[in-house]
Order: sequence, then structure tokens, then C-alpha cells
Amino acid sequence: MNATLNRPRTRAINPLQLSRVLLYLALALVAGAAGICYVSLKNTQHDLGERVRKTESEIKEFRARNQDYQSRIASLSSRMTLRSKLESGFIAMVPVAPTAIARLTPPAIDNADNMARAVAANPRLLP
Amino acid sequence: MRWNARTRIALASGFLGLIFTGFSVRLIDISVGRHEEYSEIAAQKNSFRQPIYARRGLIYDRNGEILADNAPVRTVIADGSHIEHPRAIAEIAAPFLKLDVDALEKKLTTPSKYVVVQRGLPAETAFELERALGEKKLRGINFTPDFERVHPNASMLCHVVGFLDHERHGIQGVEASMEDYLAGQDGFRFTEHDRAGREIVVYRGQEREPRDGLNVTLTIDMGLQSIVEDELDAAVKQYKPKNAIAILVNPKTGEVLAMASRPNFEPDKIAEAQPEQMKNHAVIDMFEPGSTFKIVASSGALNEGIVDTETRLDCENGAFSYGGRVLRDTHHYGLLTVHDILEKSSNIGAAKLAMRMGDTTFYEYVKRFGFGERTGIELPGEIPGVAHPPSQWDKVTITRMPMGQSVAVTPLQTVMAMGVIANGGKLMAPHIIKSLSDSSSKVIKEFQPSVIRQVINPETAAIVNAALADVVSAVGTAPQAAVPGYRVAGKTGTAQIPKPGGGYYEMKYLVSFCGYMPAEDPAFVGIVMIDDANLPSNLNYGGLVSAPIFARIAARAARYLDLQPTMRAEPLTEVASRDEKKEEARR
Repeated sequence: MNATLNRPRTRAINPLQLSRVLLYLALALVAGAAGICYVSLKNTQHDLGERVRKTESEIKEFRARNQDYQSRIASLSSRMTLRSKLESGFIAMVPVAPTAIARLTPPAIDNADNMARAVAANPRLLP
Repeated sequence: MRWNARTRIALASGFLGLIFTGFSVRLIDISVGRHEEYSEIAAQKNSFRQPIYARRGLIYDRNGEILADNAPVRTVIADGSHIEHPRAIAEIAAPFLKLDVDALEKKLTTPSKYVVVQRGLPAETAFELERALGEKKLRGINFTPDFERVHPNASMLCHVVGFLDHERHGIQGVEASMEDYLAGQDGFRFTEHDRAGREIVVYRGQEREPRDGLNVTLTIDMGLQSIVEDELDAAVKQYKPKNAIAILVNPKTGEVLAMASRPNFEPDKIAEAQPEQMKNHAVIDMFEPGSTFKIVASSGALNEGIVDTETRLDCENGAFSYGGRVLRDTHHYGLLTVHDILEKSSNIGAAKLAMRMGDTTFYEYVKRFGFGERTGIELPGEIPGVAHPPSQWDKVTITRMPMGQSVAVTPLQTVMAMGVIANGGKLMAPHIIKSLSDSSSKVIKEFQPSVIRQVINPETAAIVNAALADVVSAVGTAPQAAVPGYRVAGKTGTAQIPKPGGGYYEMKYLVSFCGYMPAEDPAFVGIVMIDDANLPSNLNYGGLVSAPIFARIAARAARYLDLQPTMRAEPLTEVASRDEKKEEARR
């Protein structure tokens, strides 16, 4: 009788090493999860990048608008524009009454000749 | 060797190993050995150097009024490689760009990646166009940020502020002289774009932030500038001169408060301006100053002790022969003091003062007053004028130069020289830049007043000051420069205009008045110069033309600056009769 046939049958069967299978499965899962995380992170990064680009674009637009409005305000409130509006009668100037003017440094009258003197030229007012 | 399974496996493994080793070697070669080469190729294909433009600094007056501003605009660029529907884009964009649809479509049908469709499109319009194209998902039109320099005050102060060329570089005025500070430095960013031409933010590369230009604050006070320009316009309308110039300076600090020149131009319409309109005659043109120059000989002779207040010089009854030529006065004068020489503007008296000083000493004072050299003001193209040294003089130069002939000066030099008398003998360096600040208004640099030299001592300055104050009286040459309530001091000048080939034009005069106010404590020193006024020669005098303009400017400036009157505001007729009585008594 053939010796091979006499071998116990159990020896021909590949034993399933469950622990190894589980290990490889776990490794595959980890690798898969890492891959998915990587892809997800990349997508998030792109998404955030897109939002950054849009926000930057909006900020640029706001800045440009702000600058534009500032420039228009400067132009509309300029001396030349106001003067042309004054000349066209769109605005009017009301002279300030002398009684409405409060002087912080009232004119100094010199007793000698009853004449006003500049502050800087008046020894009485010099420090 | 036995050709069994093990051998075959070993051979196959070895073969595969060799192949993969080859791949690995190639991979390492590409990624490490030729990294630079391939990176460059990749960068050329996908990476762009996107410029980030710096904001040009603004120009302000001393009170923060904007003189030169930036209006944001966009340059519209077509990228032919991304345009799929030129007709559709043209139909949407044409109304925004105010272009013909067919012409625009033709422009957009291009393989080129960079075609400038329009420059200077207002930012607001560009945003609307971008939105309209985005809604229709049309690609291939890009907008590059840019700016236009705008001047809210149009032609006012045009020569000082200046303008930019098409590449946004300053080429005149403060825009040119302060270009390095105003321009800033553009930044950049390396970016990668997707198929649609949009930036992929995650692949942003090297980046450098732009450095915005600094804001420049001038010493100019637009309130005073407006007064000066008004009066100059009125004078131009009345006298129709070739040129007209007015300058106001603070004599104590050398700060230029106002500077105007005619003809002028609008910086926002620079294409329409003629070269003659663009000249700032205050600093780039020189004139024979005439009698305003007499302050040099008078101050010099007094300062050197060659004459004193009591010394009387013989003015030869109006005709003085010297060097084979006759020098004349407009009136016949006998003995005159230095005070009288200035008050009456005697040519012979001024000549005799200079002759007593001698060539070298007189020339030294010409130089000490700042003539013949640039003042150093922060404006481009300033000229030094001409003041030849005694070695180049002819025999009569010593009699001509003291009365403002044989010498050429700029209006700014004249006003700074007058400032010497107004400022106790100190020559100040004129400056027009007050400070530099960054975009958050933080002052980076402040320009301080600087004294160039003590030209004459304060006592001499006081004597000359008294004489100049009497010039503006009924017995002086400029009663019309008087301002009620204030004591004005100054000197008139009526100079013949030299011909290019030698000699002088008949009936053409450059008339000026250079003075300051109040004489006791000057708040400003100014000059008004009218070149070749359309007037008969008997009316074309500094005292008749320039002095009244100065008086109007000074009166309005006094109100604007809230200067307190130093005298009782008497009617001019009363002032005149009082001055005449004083003169009688002195005689």
C-alpha cells in the first residue's frame, strides 16, 4: 500500500490561521481607512482652498469698492467740486456773525497808541 | 544545473527583480537626479507668477486734504485658450465695455493666452461683468487689478503734485521726486490653475506680500493755495501775461504754504496739456529779478559795517556815469540813506552800495542769500539760476547786479532771500514735504526745518525790515501792497526782459512784488511775479501790478490764518496822509 495513502488525512488540510487573517484584515482596514482619510482630507483641503479663494476674492472686491467710494467721496467733497456747487447755487455759505466768533487769544491793545499788536510782537504776552 | 521548479522560480524572481530595480533606478533618477529639470517643466506648465500690486501712496496737504488719490480700475484680459464661446462672451461684455459686439468677438477669437481687451475699466463695472459671465459659466475673461491716479482738485496745485506716465511712474512734481516712497513694492505669488483656469489654492507656492507706498503729506495749505490760485487767475484774466507765479512760504520754517504758476493744466487730462503748461516756473525758470534784488546790496553793506543807518550816498540826481554807461533812476534823487535807497528803489544808490562793498564781498552776499545755487526743494528740475563770479564780470556788472540785472534767479530763490530779512537774518531751506506715513497713518518720517546759514545779523535784518516796511507806504514804491490792519514789508521789482541774443526787449517787463506780513512778526513771505503783462509800459510796474495782487492775497491769507491785526485798520487815504506827514517831518 502506498505510504502516502497511509498518512493521516488531517495533515493534507491547510489550517486557517485566524489570528494572521485578522491581522492582515486589520492592516488592510487601517490602510484603507488611512487612504480614505487621506482622500477626505485632500478633498477638505481643496474645499477649504476654494473657500479661501472665494473669500479672498470677496475681500478684494470689498477693498476695491471701499477704495472706489473713498475716491468718490474725496472727489465730491473736494474744494473744486464744492466751489462749483457754490457757484451753481446748489449750496450756499452763510457768513459767521462777528458776535458768534469766540477768540481764544483776544487781540491785545497797546495802551501807548491804542492799537492792536500781534501776540508774538507783544512783550506783555510773551512767555 | 538542474532545471527544476526552484531554478525556474529563482530565474523569474531575478528577472522581475531586475525589472523593478530598473524602474526604481529610473524613478530615483527622475525624482531626485533630475528634480530641478522636471520641476521647472511642471512649473512652466501649471504654475503662474501672479503679481500682487502695491497700493501707490496718496498725497495730502498739511491739513489732510487729499491731493492725489487712487481710483481702482481693472484691466480686462482675454485668455484665448479658455474661450469656447466668443460670441456669447462678446454679447454679454460689449455693453459693459462699451464696445461693438462684432469687434469684441473678433478680438476674443484668438489662440493667444493674453490679449488686453480694455484698460481702466471702473472696478464697479468689472465686478458686474464678472458676475454676468459667471452666471452663464463663460470662461476666458480675466480681470487684473490696477488703479488710476485722480486729482480731486483738478488743476489746483498741478505743478507741485505732478502726474504719472502710462506705466504709473511719476514724471513731474512730487509724484516724480517722491517716486521711491510713493510707489511701494509689488508682491507676487506662485499659483497653479485648474483646467478652467481657476487657482488651486492648495498648490500655492512661494509668496511675497506687497509693500504699499507711503503717503506723502505736503507743507502746502490748500486754504492758502486756493486764495493764491484765485488771485492769480484773476490777474491772468486782467493782464493776460505770458507767465504768472505766486509763492507763499513760512519764513521761520521754510515750509512752502502755496505755490502756483500760470499757465497750468489738469493732471487728469494730461493728454490735452501743452508742454508750456506743465512747467513749474517757480523752480525751473529763471528771471532777472529787478529791484527786489536790492536787498542784497543794502543788507550786505550794512552787515559789513561799510555803511550805517545815517550814511548818505549821492544818487547823482538820477544819472550816474560809470564804465562808459549811464545808470539812471526813475526820479532825481540827491543824498539818500540805505533806508531811502530801498524805499525809493534807487538804482544808483544800490550800485553805489555794491561798489563800496567791492566785487568780492558783494558777490559773497549774493551767494550767501542763496542765489546761484539750488535751494534743494523736493521738486524735480530745479535750476540754480545764474550768478557769475567777479572773474566773469565786465566793468559795469557791479552797477547792474545790485539792481537785479546781469543775474538770473528763480522766484523761489527770491522769496527765500526775502525770508532772510523776515526771519532775523537766517536763510531757511525751503521744503514742501512735511511727512511720510504708512497706510495706517503712522508717521514714518517727519521733515524738520533747517537753517542753511545766518546770512546777516538780526540787527541788520531789523534795519532792512524797517526800510522794507516803508516801501509799502505812500512815500514808498508799493503803497498798493498795504493791507488794512497789518504792517506789510516788501520790495517791488520791475525788470526788463532780456533777449536771447543780448539786449532787452522794448516795452516788455517782468514785474514783481516780494514781501511779508505782518512786518513785526511775519506769518508768511510771498512773491507775485507777472511776466510780460499786456499793459502800456507806464502802467507796467511791480508797485502797480504785482503789489495789489500781493495785498489781496495777504488780506485773505490774514483772515484765513486768523492773524491778529497789528495796527488799527485805518482807511488807506488816512494812512497815506500820515505817511506823507512823516516823510515831510523827516525831510
